[in-house]
Amino acid sequence: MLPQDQVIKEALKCSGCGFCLSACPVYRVLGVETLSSRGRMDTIRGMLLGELKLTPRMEEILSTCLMCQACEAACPPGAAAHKVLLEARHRAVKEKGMPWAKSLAFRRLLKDRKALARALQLVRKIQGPPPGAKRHDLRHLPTLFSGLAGGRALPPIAQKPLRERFPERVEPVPGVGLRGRVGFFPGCYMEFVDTSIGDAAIRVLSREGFEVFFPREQVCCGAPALFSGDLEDTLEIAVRNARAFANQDLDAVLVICATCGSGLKEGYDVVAQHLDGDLRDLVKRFSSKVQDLSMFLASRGLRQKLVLPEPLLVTYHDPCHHVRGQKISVEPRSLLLSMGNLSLKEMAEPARCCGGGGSFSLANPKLSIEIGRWKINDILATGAQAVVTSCPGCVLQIQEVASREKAQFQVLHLVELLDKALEGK
Amino acid sequence: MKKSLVREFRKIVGAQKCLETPEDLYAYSHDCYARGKPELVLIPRTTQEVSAILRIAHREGVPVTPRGGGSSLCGATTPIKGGIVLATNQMDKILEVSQEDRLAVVEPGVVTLRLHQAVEAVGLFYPPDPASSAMSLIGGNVATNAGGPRCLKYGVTRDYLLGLEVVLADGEVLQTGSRAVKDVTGYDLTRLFCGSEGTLGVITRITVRLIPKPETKRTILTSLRTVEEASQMVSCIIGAGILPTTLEFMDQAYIQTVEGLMHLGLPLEAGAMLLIEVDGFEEAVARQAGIVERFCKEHGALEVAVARTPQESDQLWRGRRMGTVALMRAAKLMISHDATVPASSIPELVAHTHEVARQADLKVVIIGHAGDGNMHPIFLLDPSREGEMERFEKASRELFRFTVEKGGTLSGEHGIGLEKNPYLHLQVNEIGMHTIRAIKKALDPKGILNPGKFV
Repeated sequence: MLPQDQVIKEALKCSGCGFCLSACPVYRVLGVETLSSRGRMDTIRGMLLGELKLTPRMEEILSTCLMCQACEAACPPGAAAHKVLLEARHRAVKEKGMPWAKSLAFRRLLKDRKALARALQLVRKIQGPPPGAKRHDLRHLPTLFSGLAGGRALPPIAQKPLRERFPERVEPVPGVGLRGRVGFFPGCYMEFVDTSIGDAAIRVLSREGFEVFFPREQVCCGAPALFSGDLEDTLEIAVRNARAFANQDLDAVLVICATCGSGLKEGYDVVAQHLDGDLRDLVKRFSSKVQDLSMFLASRGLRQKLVLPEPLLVTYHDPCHHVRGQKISVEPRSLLLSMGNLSLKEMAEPARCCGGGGSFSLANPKLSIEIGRWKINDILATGAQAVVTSCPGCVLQIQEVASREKAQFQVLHLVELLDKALEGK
Repeated sequence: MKKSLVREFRKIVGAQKCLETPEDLYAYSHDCYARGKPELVLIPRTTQEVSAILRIAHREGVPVTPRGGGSSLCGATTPIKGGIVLATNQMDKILEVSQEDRLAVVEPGVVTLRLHQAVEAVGLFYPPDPASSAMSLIGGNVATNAGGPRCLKYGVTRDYLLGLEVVLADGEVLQTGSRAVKDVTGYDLTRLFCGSEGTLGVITRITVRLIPKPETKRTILTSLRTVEEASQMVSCIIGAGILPTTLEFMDQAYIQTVEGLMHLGLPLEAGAMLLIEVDGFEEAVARQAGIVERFCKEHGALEVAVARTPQESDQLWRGRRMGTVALMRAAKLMISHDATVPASSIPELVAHTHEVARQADLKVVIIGHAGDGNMHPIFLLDPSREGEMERFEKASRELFRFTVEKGGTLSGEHGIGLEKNPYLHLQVNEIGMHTIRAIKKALDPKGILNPGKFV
């Protein structure tokens, strides 16, 4: 999706030193060079240079990357592997079409929020997942309709989506002075599945004196399309979302999902160069306004003291799309540490991918769970009562693998804790 | 490769570990130096599997190139004659760490760093620390006799081997050495296989000697006016009875280039910098660091900094560790030599390297392990420049010649592989080559193991 010469330049940066191998979660489980960070970079480069073709094995190479960017953090020459991978996936889509996005339902639901809401309600009513999907747990909801659930579970759909629970504008709590106006981009999961996280975010913001603008025209962030190389749909989605928040004089557009944040910020910025003049500016302007809620609150500061009702020992898991995707790791911790009654105990490798990886977990269910097991063990080793994180994808993944492993700890989104700590204020 | 043969191999390791798609062959075709073209990749998990593979390969005369982490800088693990790439990375168990016998028994696929961590957790220490420790495999370390910065005081991989299990070219399994530190029974076969770069057998089990983990260490960074002064400083320190763990050298070209890229505040006017580490018991370390600091000041060092905490130490290492990373990011192509000379010849080698590079119109910066004379001239090349690679080739040849003339060696730690094969005769004379070939012929008569190397 980057210009060709830029992608080749990134791919050529890889010297084959292999420092990334110890960081690659997939290699750590499979131990096969071809499906490792280095092997992937090497074979993709081979494809870009015309030495290899888009074979079924190459498609496997493309689909077994978590896009966790751990390899990039370990890369001495600093090759942007995820950009190279995106370009390769984009080519694969152009050449072969996208197997799961061929599903018209998927493409429509990515872009049509109302239709998605209706479809999900239908799913809820028939009390079971659509054909092909098993129980709870799907990352990006539109993929639910792609028949690609691959044995992973589907989460229970909320009775009432977030959009039916709040008006388009939520005023600050009475008596709290107005500190600013922010846009809110909850993302699919918070809007339709675990709406309580979205509730919590809106409550925290309005208690802290922010007017929350929650436009109904917003759609999926487009990450499932972006990460699978579907440029055309990503562009359409980007423009829709940019329009939904345009001309509103907002301090920021806040996200509470690390993946949405990465998609809206870096992802849109990269794809925007495929748009013309006004539209490109519109998307770029929107993209530059997007901020993670924890970053926003940490920089603006909280007016009220944060105190949990009861003592709690937590550990923090860094979502890939935070720590590497957006370079966020300090702010969530500083919010946690500012809470009374909370102690933080770091796990061994807090920034190691949990194995969720969006549609990765659907395409590679066994591998995803295998990678998730390490995370569970790292969390258990801290003895924490709860693991806190900032991405619903991680919440779901950790929850599911923890329940398989019969691990007894809570999995919380940071916003839920913030909400608890502000309760009764 | 014949279909029936592939079937035989697949039966040994299973379909998942027998890879033959063009993508798999591509991914396993190279190391950091060169690319070859294998016909099959096998990933065995046991000695028995390795043995069964080699028995067939030997029968059929199929080349077998063993592979560890695949990070060779000299093409040691590039399969240049087709055949099989034998990846040992899934044989990755630490079988034993014995505190009483101070040894560890490991499979070849154990990542070096994991071995470090496992033995340090029980108060023991495995000193060899190649720069690639975070991903290199111990089997590869043995096959290439890996070194690292700590080797000045502690020696290299070969100095920590007690015994090996090696699958020979015909599939027979050889046990060398023992669990005893003192062992003079028969030829020292363990050391023969160490550094043989996979040309004599496939290492499947390794018994390493361990030592007590030093209590603490101290890092000192000093800058000096000239390379000669740095060299004198090194003699002075060792002459005073101090054997530092590490004595890293950085020359002016390195300091200036890295400072230009990273703005760390390195002294641009310095002719050389030395990064010195001493380790041991706290009292001894404090005293040694004090002496080193005093020497530096007495010998007109431009600056001296002593780190007292791990954080301060990391800070002092930044210019050295992150510097090479910055160079890698800035250069189109970076090739590092590892010519090693007796310590007294370091100033000459540094001066000569710059002179040769100047004449060949090449950019070079020099770092090295000063205490043991293991220098790393790092060439920052641009292959798109007219004749650059030819000029580099010529400069390399001259530097290798010079190194051998000074009583040094072509390679201190990277190995021979493909890169230095053409220069082997500079150091190893007719009789030496004859001996090497006789050993090779005795152990691998059909020449199936990593063919094209060491010949």
